[in-house]
Amino acid sequence: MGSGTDNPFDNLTQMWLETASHVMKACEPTEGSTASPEVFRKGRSDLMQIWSEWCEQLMRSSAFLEAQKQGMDGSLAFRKQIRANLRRMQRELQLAGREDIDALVAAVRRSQRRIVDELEENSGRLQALEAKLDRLSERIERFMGREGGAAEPAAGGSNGGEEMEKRVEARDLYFASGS
Amino acid sequence: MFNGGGNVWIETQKAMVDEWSANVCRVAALPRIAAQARRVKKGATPSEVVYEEDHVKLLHYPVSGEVQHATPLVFVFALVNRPYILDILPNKSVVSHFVKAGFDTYLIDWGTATDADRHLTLDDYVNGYLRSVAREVRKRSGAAKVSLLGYCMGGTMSAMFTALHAECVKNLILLAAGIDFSTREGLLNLWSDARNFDVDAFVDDVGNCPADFLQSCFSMLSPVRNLLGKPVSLLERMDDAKFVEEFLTMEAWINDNVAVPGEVFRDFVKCLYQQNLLVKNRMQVGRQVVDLRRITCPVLNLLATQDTLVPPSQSAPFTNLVGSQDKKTIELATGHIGLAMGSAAQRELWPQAVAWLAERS
Repeated sequence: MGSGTDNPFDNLTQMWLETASHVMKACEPTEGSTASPEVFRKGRSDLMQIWSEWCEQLMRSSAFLEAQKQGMDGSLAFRKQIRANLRRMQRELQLAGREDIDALVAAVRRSQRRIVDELEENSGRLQALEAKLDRLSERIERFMGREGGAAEPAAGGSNGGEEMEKRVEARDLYFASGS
Repeated sequence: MFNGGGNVWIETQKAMVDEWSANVCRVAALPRIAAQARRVKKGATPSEVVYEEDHVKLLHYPVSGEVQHATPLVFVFALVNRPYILDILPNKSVVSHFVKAGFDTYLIDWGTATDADRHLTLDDYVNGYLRSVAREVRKRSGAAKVSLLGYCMGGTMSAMFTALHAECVKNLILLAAGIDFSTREGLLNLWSDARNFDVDAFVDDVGNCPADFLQSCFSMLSPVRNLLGKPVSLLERMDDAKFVEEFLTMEAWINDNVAVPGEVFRDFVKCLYQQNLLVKNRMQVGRQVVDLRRITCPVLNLLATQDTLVPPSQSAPFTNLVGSQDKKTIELATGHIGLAMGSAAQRELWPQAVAWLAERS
């Protein structure tokens, strides 16, 4: 379609002018042509193209967008008013309404978020604790290895119970030393 | 037109009679069409539900014989329509291309959102359902990662998922997926602009975005074609059984819109259409921020040059925004739905996409 303005009425006039000129052109006899259904189909397809372009232009115009917004706002305001009246009635009848359910869901979601926050925090703490414990047990292992290495020749004939006692002593010694 | 001589007049008369007799045949086909409309099938390839969570169902398409590729493929569809468009007819099925090529193929059916789902957010879908599905597929197949193929809004969600959970995704294919919403080429982008549409007031009032609202918006993208062109083309080809079957199946799908959970709709319109946060790497999904640069897996971006719903300028920038080295874009001169089920797509696009994925699975 030709260069349109933002005024939908100008565009509408232009669209009908183009449509009329197109119809007249399609009706003109051309060399060797017949008024077969194919000619009508071609004409129809061209007309649809013109109308499509006009619609596209109309739906992009600020007048259309403004009208659309006003229509939507008006419809929402009307629904809101109806809902407010219904809500008042529901309150009087002590019935649960959508707002109550929404508030309940929002409260559940908030609690859920808090629990997840808490869980994540605890999970972080646990991970830190685990890492600390791992480091500690490595150090204990090393410490025990040293102790064990020194005690090994003497402990050749000792039984498992004595070995365990020694290990416990070594651990106590380790913690008592504060290292 | 009637002054072209006697021959022209006779030929015109003959053409009119032919057209009239063709119209009689078309009208005679009406009862058959009405019967056919009641028998429209949804889904062409045999499938089974292997996982369910709330309304979400995961369909598995068994391969006849051995699975040929180690990485399973998951189709992620949009929330606005039903997913059977990807497997609509035996000769127009995207799913069957992959199943026949030996892919272990799955499809997510998001189900129909009810009023109780209006509080579901993108976080619930991306970090919740999609993650559960990926976990389930990996468990079933024994693969460490999955390939994702996301269509339209499902493509946008797949991109978010891949950026947030890169460890789960081996390959990513986007099909007409909206990524860069700064364009005003598409009417939807213009209509949903913050100056023209107050999404907060809308969602606060209606809850879920109603299916008929979406339906009317999509129809208005091409009103002449949808309200005039399509009925006329049906009228003209009523006696063509194959055309009628495809037409009715397509119309059944197009009119099978479902409501979108209110909070997802709000997130989508506000954060994407109005603020375009995804390309700015500032889109927040739950507690995490989506950074598209974190997508490093192979990426295939499929887009339609005549798409009015997701214009190519909205999906094309994706490959420049990701951190992947292995990335490819394929364009096809068709529309949004034609990209999935059009004859050209079936003939040219999907064999290429299958080959691309086979090399990387």
